[in-house]
Amino acid sequence: MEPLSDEQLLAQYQSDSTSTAGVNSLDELFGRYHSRIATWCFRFTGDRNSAGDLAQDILLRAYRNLDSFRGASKFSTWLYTIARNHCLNEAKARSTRAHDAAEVLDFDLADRSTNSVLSQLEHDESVQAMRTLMEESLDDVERKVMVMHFGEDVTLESVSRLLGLNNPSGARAYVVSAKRKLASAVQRWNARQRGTR
Amino acid sequence: MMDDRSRNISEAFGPGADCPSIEDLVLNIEGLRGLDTRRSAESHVAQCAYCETELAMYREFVSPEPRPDERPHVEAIVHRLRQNSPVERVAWWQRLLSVRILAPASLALAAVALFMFVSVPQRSSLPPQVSTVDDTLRSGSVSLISPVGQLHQVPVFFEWQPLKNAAHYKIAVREVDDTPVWQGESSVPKMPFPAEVRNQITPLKTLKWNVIALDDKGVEISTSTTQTFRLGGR
Repeated sequence: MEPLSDEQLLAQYQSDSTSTAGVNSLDELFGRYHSRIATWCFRFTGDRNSAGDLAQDILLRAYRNLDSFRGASKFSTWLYTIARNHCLNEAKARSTRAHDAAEVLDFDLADRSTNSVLSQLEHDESVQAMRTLMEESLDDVERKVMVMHFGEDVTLESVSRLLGLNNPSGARAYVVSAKRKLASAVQRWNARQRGTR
Repeated sequence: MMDDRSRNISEAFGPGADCPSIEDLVLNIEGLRGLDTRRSAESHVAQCAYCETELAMYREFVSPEPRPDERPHVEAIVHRLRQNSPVERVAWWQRLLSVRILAPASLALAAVALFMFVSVPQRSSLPPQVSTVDDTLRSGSVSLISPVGQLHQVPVFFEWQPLKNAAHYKIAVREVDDTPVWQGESSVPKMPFPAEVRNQITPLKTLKWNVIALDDKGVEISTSTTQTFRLGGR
């Protein structure tokens, strides 16, 4: 017999949350994700105890918010969103250290020689151009590292574990190489822009 | 710390205006909304580093196998999760009442209890005092009135039952994962919907809210249960 989908198990629980069958359905559903949540949290923290705390918090949040799951998405993405947001919020709350040199983005597409203040339009164009340069210049891992660290605020240590980067300096090495590639791509882009004016 | 310039550039690594939520992205990319939508999602992911990464992170999450060096840690965490499940057990008497064979007996018992209640003369012949919603001052907990559940339009007010001894109320709106959206205070049990919350209301996005009642010294005297609402949907 085909096993029930996540959504079917949840529907069984929601149709009768006080029956043994309903509770067993929810137990089975959560049980399917124990290992995934544990792995995710361990990669985020790198520490068994705090990962265990995070994993328990995530399951508790999911349990308390089951009523808000209406089946408009997959259960796995709903749970993933809770797990990701909770881990990111916890990491931000605990992070007290300043960014080191590798973590500062010290290049941009604004032509500082004109001393002009970027208008919103120019700003949007710069962001779009940077996205294009990133696609053109960086390899797959470098893009992921840059997005996770600078777009999602995941620490470099967590990025290394989440992506399974086994090189000695982990994600930091990819940030350094991505920055070098982007800086030279930005230089070329700025030169082209000046040439067309 | 990142300066403003770096912060602006870091936007390039975040989601764009046309990036879907991960929930939608997965439904689209797995073809659950049709072939055209799937092609369009694949084309977006191919040129969007943010969505490409989001999808990769989600796939890592749903991948059931930890790496060999992670296995002992993951097993220990799973053991702990099994021992501390948040799922509430059903009490034996609840299970007993839910057994089909006992349901008629439960109903008969309820009928006897009702008969005894209406047969026994009441101690007072005075009619019960019934008050309207507007002048009810509850002494128990704060009861939320609206918005609740599925909405067809953006609400105008937050509204809840007034509570006895409450001098003012704190209202908090959060996303389903408890990320704060907005907090406000009011001295009356009703307040206009703030723009900060209005801006967060998009179709099918669920928001939660609750109210804390405080006395005139600012001491918390009651907290409501949490209610959810969202625009549109089934």
